[in-house]
Amino acid sequence: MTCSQPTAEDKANHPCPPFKLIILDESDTMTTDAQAALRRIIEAHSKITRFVLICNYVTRIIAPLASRCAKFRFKALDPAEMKARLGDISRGEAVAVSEEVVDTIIETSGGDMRRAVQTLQSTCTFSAEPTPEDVYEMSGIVPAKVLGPVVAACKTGTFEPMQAAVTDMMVSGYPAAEVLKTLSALVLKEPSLRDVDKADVSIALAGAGKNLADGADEELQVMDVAAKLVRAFRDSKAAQAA
Amino acid sequence: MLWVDQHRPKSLAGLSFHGPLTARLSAMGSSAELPHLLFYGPTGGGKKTRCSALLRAVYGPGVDKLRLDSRSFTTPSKRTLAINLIASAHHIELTPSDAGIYDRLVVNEVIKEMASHQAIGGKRGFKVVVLNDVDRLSKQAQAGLRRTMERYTSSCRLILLCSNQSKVIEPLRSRCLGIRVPAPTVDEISSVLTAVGEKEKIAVPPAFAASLARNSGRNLRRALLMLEAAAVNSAALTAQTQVVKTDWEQYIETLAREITQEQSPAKLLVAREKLYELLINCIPATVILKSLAFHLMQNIDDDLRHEIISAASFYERRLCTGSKEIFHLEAFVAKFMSEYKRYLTNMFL
Amino acid sequence: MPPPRPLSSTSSLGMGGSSGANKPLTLASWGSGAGGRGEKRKKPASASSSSSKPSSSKPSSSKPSSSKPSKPSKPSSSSSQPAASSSSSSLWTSSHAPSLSALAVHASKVKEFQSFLSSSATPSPSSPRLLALLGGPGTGKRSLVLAAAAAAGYTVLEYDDTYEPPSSFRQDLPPGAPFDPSQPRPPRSRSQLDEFADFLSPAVSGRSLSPSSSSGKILLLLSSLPYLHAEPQRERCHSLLASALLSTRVPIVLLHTDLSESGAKASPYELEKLMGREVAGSQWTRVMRLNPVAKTILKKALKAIALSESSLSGSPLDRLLDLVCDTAPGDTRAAINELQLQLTVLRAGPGRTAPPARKTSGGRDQALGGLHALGKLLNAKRGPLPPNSKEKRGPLEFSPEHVVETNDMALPSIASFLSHHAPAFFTDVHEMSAACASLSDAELFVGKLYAERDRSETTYPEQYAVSLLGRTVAASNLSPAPSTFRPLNKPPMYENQVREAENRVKIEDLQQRAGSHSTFGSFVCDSLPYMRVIAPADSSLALHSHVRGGGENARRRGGMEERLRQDPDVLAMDDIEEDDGDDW
Repeated sequence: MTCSQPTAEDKANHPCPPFKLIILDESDTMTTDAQAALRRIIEAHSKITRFVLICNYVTRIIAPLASRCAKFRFKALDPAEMKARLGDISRGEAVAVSEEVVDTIIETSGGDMRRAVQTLQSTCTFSAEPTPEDVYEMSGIVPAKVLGPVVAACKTGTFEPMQAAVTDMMVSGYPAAEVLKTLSALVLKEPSLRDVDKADVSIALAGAGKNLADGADEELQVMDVAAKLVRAFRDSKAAQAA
Repeated sequence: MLWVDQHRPKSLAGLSFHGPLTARLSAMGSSAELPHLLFYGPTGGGKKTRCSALLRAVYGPGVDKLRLDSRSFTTPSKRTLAINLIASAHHIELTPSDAGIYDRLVVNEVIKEMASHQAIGGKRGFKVVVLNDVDRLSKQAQAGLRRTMERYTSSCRLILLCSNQSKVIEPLRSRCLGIRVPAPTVDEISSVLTAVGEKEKIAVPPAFAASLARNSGRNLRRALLMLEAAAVNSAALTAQTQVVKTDWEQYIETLAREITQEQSPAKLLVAREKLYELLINCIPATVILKSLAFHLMQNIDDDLRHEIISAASFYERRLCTGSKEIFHLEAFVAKFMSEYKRYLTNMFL
Repeated sequence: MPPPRPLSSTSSLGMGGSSGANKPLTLASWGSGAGGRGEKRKKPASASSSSSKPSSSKPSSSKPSSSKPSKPSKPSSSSSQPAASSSSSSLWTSSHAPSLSALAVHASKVKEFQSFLSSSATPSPSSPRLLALLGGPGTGKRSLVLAAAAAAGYTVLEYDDTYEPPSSFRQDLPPGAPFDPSQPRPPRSRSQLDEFADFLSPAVSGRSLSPSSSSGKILLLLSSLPYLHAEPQRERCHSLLASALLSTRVPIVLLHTDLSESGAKASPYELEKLMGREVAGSQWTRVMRLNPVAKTILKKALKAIALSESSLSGSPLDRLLDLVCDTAPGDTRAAINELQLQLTVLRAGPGRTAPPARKTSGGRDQALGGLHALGKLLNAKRGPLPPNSKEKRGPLEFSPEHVVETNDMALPSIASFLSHHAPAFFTDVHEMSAACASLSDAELFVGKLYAERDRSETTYPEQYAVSLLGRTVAASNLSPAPSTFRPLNKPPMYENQVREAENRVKIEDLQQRAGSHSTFGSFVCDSLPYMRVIAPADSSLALHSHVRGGGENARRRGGMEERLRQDPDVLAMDDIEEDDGDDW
């Protein structure tokens, strides 16, 4: 079949709309100027060309551009669907993976199918009998239990146990950015903290994340956040007693 | 030769701790494929040792025949700079951040050159480039690395080593398989120390080994150096043998003591001299600030500790984003003085 | 005679350039020079502003004939022939160009220059060929060359960056064709570099340099090099200079105005930047520096001019000369301009015998420069509290932003200076801590400003950095230390950075020899201290120490220069801005 000059037969066999498609991947990383320029291009050539913009964050597409597009939202994948797909793959590759491991993979992937498949592959390639621990290792996620001693030490409301726990945890080599993510999830779930104290700790978490991106020292940043958590536990306890 | 280098395990089988990690590395060594790798973890945890052992598992003993090499590069402004590297027939190892602002150039040139020469002999179709200290690379160099490693991925694999993984940009991290090398536990270090002691025919009392392990901050290299230093200093090691502290740590301890004794502008000038002295001796400013902060946090009230840790994390970040370290170190010292003085005044009210 | 003008000198200053039809001729004459004083920083073309621009380090605009190489410059000797009356439109700086005996340059420097001239004429392979003549604005660099060369019978061919090749140099003219100055020049269409090459090419090719000179004694005077900002062009310029140096026996004098304070040695890096490595390091190159003119010498020179131009004498003249000398310390050109202005004002208002007190309105920004002006920021003197004010302290006696902006040091150097000296001015540790915090903020801004200046996408608000620097001490120091004399010397920051870099090289070398696999940081912190214990002989390093290394400045400087020669990048990598600081 020739695309440029289709015969009648081609048209019948391969019905083709009268326009081209241009797909712009990662279009949310375009500058606003580029997006503004695109706006006019889209309108001028809409007769013969259609654009498909693919992006992670629709909020980073400028409003005039977004209004020219029909939006399709792709939600994070359903765990059950992911599980089925991972099952297909492991059967196809003839590797034995336990149910527990698949669940851990899905948990660490955060609904990201590509990441889940990558984790599955590296786990199965480099471990004879994969365990959930291997999955955590491969995905770079910090399991909540690593932070257990730190949170427990913070609950004492005193500084020294926290300092020891943080120093101990940091030498295990987990990347501080991931530690903060896990810590954030734990803090938000923590029942003994008042909302206002959770907010204080969350602000500290956000600041520390930014500082880490600027290249600040991991131990100091994590300890600073943990120090805020110590005070948050102390204040919450005092408020409940009062 | 120092003990720490002399008794470094050469093969994966010789590694004495991190069993599951070793098993995973063995699987990698025997599999046909090697992904790009990113070793991360605290210093003295054995990243480099594991990396070398993995290369040996991949290529065989050929990687042990190392030669020191120096390569020169021409910068866009027509200046030449030389960078030292260690190479074997199969791999090449360098620290691109040594080139300062030209790190990006070094990264691109070395990998390009590596990839353009066909791998000779051996069972592998690729060579390996080991890059140290990738966390000290500029963001531009890291971005350059990311493109280069995609382009030459068929003929060249990268192994990146860093201690602060947060300083490595996300696209680079996601292209590598991360390998976390945690610090060994106190017990693990103690047993390594005992084993080295046996080889050197020196009796290492278990209590002394444990004390070294704790004092080293679970840093195996440091613990081994401390052991050797202690063995040089004393005829026989006992549980009571003094642990040798580094000169700069003692210096920072003195500084911490001084600024706890008196808080005044005059004292700040004294502290400044000490800070300069440390900087001139190439002690990294971050290390100075951290060590000072932890010394100051001993034996004081919890409220003050909170102030110190938040000041320390604030000014440590300034060290990274600013350009003259002494400003921020001094500001930290002044902040401590101010807070400590306020605390003392309130106590006597 | 212009009508009497009942104006104070301050207002006449303001009107000098702007008043309309009744503007006296004399005012117009210095309207382009001293009259524009108020905005001198923005007018690089005016003669008085040459203090900050090497490119206009001679009053060529008012006397174009002297800048053309085809015409030998014959400086008029002012002491023997008093110039025409002051109603002539020439600037005294050009009409009173000094003879050798009237030069306001120290006699030893004149001798040094003459010995360069004579030794360059001796046919020895080692005799010098190029002299780099450095000095601040108005120290008499060009006057010295012109006067000494004329006295020794040299014809001076001068190049500066306004140079255009005369048509007699053009190839399309038959050789020997008469040069017709009335012929309009073709519009300039070639690059400065090409013209610079044209200027040098006769010297390089060994041809006779100027058709009109028959004596054969020729001196090339490079009042400035072409203005170049791009690296390849600068390199070409340097190689032009180098090949000229190689092939010619004609003495070349290169003038360079630098703003560093007197006594400081020009850093080899700066010289290299100016002339290129090859030339700067050549055996035929000499460097000579003129210091700012001493007040007594300056006064003597001014007096000679004043006596020939006006009827003023005795103590009024003496007072006036003192005043003039103070407004432009060490700068002959600015002082003569100032003198012309003052005397013209005097003549405009007959009946006034005392020199007007212009001390506050005039003066030059340069005089504010250096470290001492910054002392203001640290002392932070305040005026009396106005009545009914709610403030606790009176207003500052100066504008902090102005002090920072008019200072001739770069912002990073100012920041270093303030941070270094601030603690001595405090008594309260809380206030000092606040100041240190602000200085840390300022350093962050300044660092970003300088690090990212080349990248146009981000513009950091420089004003904030300036205000922070200017106001930090004044704002935070509520209980200042009693004022005493404090030597405001140069902060050791740069020197310490150099020593750190030297130590780093030594440690890296040691690390290499030890075959250590660890990173530099962990080698320094972990391995090195223990290696000193384990194997003291192998790891003993003569590290520079801040506390111990007291009086070995000279040796250290030598080490730095050595390192520079090996690796000019060492400065580029650290902080080039600090290089200014080195010559404080």
